[in-house]
Amino acid sequence: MPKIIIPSSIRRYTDDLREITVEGPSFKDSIDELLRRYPQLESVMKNGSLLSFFVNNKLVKTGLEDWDSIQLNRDDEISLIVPIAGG
Amino acid sequence: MPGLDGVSRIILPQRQWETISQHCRRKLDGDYLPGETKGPKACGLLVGAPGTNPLLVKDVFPLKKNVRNQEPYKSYMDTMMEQHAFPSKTPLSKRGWITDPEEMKQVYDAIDQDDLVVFGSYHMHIVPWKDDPVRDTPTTLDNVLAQGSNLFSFIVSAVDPSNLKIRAFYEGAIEKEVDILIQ
Repeated sequence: MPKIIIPSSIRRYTDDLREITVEGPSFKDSIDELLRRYPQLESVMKNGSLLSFFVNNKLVKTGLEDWDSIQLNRDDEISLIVPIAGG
Repeated sequence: MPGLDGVSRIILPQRQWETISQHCRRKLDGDYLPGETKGPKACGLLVGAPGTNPLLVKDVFPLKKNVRNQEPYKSYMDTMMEQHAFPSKTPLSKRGWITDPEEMKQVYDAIDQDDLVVFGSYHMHIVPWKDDPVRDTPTTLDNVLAQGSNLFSFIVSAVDPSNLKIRAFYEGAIEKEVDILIQ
């Protein structure tokens, strides 16, 4: 099953878990399940246009649209990266 | 990672402070690395072991890229600038920074195996303002962008490059400053 790797800055929303296994099978299903299990992550997703998603270390998407275009295999690893910004 | 709002002091080893200082001075001198975003901006990540107080800076990762002028970041930052940035002699299009996701991923991959976490970022301020000549505190925009991040914002005052100063603020809030001990 796909795994989602959570960056340290937001692990407080996932019971301090670094790695979360989800059912999938699609990318969208995986993220939806993550948000269902850890609804506090919604606060991170509110600026979701800046979130980046990696599948097996390859950057596949920045933003929260067109997830259906992302192909996911059973043992893929999704990494979530939250950008840091300043003025 | 545990919340960092209970941290009362940060220990910044001299070696890590030198790394930050050299990064800032190099960018101010216009001495760029291959692939590095040009311009007088320096930002980077600070890592350490979570759950300790005082919090020790175990390592520092100067970042090369600023994606502020790439979409989708540009539209977001332009909007944030218009809403929250103070007027300055530097045009809005040349202000602000956002970390590159691929560079951040490399840092996370490098530190995860050592059970370290990113607990803060640094960036420098270089232009003195009339009511803030040293510029060693976060701007309103810094604060807005850091809210909810559970990270410290380290501000490097580089108004006088020969006398750099650094201060740390939880989530970029002036009232949540934490002392830094450089040793």
